[in-house]
Amino acid sequence: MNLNVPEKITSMTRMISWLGKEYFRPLGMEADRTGNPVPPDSELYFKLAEMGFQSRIKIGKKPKTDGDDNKPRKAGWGARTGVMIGEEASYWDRGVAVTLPGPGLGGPALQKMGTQEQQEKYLTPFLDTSQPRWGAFGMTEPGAGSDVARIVTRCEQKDGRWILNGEKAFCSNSDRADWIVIWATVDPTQGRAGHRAFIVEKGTPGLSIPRHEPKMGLKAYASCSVLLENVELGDEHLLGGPEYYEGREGFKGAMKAFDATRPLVAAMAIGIGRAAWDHTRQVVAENYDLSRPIPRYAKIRAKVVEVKRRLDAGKLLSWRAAWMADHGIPNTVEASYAKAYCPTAAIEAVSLCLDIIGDAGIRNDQFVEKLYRDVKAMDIVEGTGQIQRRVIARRRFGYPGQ
Amino acid sequence: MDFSISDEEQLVRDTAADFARALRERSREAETNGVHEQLQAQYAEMAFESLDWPEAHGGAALSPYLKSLVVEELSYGCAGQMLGLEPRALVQYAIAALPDGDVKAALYADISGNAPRTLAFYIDAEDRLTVDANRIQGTIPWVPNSSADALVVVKQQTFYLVTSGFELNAVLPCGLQAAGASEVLVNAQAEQAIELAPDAVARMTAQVRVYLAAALIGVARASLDYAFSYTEEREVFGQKIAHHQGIAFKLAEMAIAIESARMLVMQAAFALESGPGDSEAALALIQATEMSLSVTIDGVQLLGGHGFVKDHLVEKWMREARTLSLMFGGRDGAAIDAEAAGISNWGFAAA
Repeated sequence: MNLNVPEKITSMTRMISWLGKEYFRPLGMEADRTGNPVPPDSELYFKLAEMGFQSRIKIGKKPKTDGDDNKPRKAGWGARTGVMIGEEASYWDRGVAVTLPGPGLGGPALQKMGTQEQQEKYLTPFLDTSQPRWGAFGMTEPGAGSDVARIVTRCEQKDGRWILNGEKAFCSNSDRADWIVIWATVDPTQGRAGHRAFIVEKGTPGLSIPRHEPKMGLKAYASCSVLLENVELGDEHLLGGPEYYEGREGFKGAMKAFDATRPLVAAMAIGIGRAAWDHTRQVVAENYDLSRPIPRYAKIRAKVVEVKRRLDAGKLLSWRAAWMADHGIPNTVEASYAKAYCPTAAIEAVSLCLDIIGDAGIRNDQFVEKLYRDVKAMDIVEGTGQIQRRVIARRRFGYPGQ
Repeated sequence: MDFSISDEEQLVRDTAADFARALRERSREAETNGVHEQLQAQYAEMAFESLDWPEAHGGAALSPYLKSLVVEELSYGCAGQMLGLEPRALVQYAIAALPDGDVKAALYADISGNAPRTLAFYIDAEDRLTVDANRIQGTIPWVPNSSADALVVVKQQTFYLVTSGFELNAVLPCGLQAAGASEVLVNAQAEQAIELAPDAVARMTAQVRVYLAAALIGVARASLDYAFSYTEEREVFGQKIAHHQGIAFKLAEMAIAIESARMLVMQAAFALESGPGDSEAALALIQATEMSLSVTIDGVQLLGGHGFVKDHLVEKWMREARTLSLMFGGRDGAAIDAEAAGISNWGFAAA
């Protein structure tokens, strides 16, 4: 057991820290004031593209197994690096972090399911460092969030073509994406077995983005509704091609035995909490002399400890789940511990920081109130806190989940 | 960022877990009769008490983390018997805090070997004792011992050794009966009064807190596992109790809380390897206290009426968690120290 962070990771987080200070934080504050997402032509994105940020993708790497990969694999550092970078980026601004160029959630879907041709066609453009590019991913619908088996966006075959109709919600970055991986169903009564994924290119007739959801926080990225009205596609747009779906009893696209995403979102929550902690620390150091025997200061001292305790415990839960993913140790339960614990811990931490700052903390220019609005999303995205409890109950306590 | 333990550590942990099963079986009997002699002999053979003591003083010098894992496993069996089996484990941290010299060597000799002496140990966090020219007076409300050859008191920065002029009277404690329980009446001239270095006191306190926090985790785990088995066997309204979502979520929340406290114990044990670990250990004890109080109370609740009666062990763990978490200053003492450390270490002091 060793809890030190190796230099190969800190050298990367230092780079994120520089970008965060220069770009993430000011852009995030600006977006919060105006309510508009960071524009796609922002200098930050060109800089990142130039640095090769969007180009670190592997094309044509076929997955070893599909869906249920229970084989042990060689230990890497990917998940641990991911949580550290995610925490640092969210420390500066989680909303801006979501807008960073790259294939986004569509990337793993393409790499895991896509044919060689699809991967080449849709991922190769990201290798061009002169221009920032985005991909997007649309699963959630207005009527189906946690329970993805309930999606109703239809894909029907007609004369050898696919016709898509439906609506997707909370589709991040789809306003600027070259393509969106859209999930639809051939038959809603089949649950996941009826699901098909399509790559829908920007400008496809029938595809529109009628609105950006106005949100409480995380305003730096656009959460879009995506409308599909008689969108006509061929098999070349069916992710993985028709053969991918043959003889399958449904696929676990989103549920993996080695989960790196839930620890990542958990770490992002902790990053937001740490931002509140650091800001509060400055406010305290500049305004209060806590060594004085003032009753309110006694409360503040106690709350400082409460904040630290929650953030430390959460951070380590996310690290451990990531460490397990890196070592091919099934971490479904531990990833859910982290994902269930960290967001609520971070919400409480930010809230306690506001207690410490007092009524001045309500002012938008005080920054921590923004974090309070931002951080709540972490308990909702990537499986709500309730879904995490459900996962733990099922995996550890045999809960059948009816 | 490595959460693995070595094969050797795993072996030690498994051995502790095996032994804990024997402790569990005797839980009830030990509450009235104390630790069985045979288990004492077996435990002495295993030499787990001195697992983290320095090699120079007969210990195995293994890591604070491994010790915490062993304490967790043994407490999963029975925390009261564990304290009775290793009555020197905690006072050793005070002895380790002494400056090197004859007194330290002599005390280590006392607590090691084939016929080790028992030193009752009290940190006077609540200022219950008065000291005047090294004369100690007052009443210690409770120590987990039925008898003691000597008494060690740490008050503020001073280590006092009392070898006569004190008496132990049996009391009935809320939990941990198996270890024995006594109040200590002291009116004695301390044989030794030794000033400890501030860092040494911080480290001693941290080690004690990690020990207690690890024990609380073991107790809470025991309660969760037991309550889960019960709710899985019994049915209400046509299905297993555990399969009602209100219960399933409760079990999940208990598990999450336990893991969060475990992480902080791990962090504190790691900090002890390279420094005093004082603020980390204080955080761990606060977390473990809050977690264990809620988990062991829920453990009773999940068994309903059966939880309240002595046919089942969940009521014992509820009493045990409350007892362990009041020792050595409890969570309030930890919070006070964490606040002091926090203001100076975490950058909250006025510039």
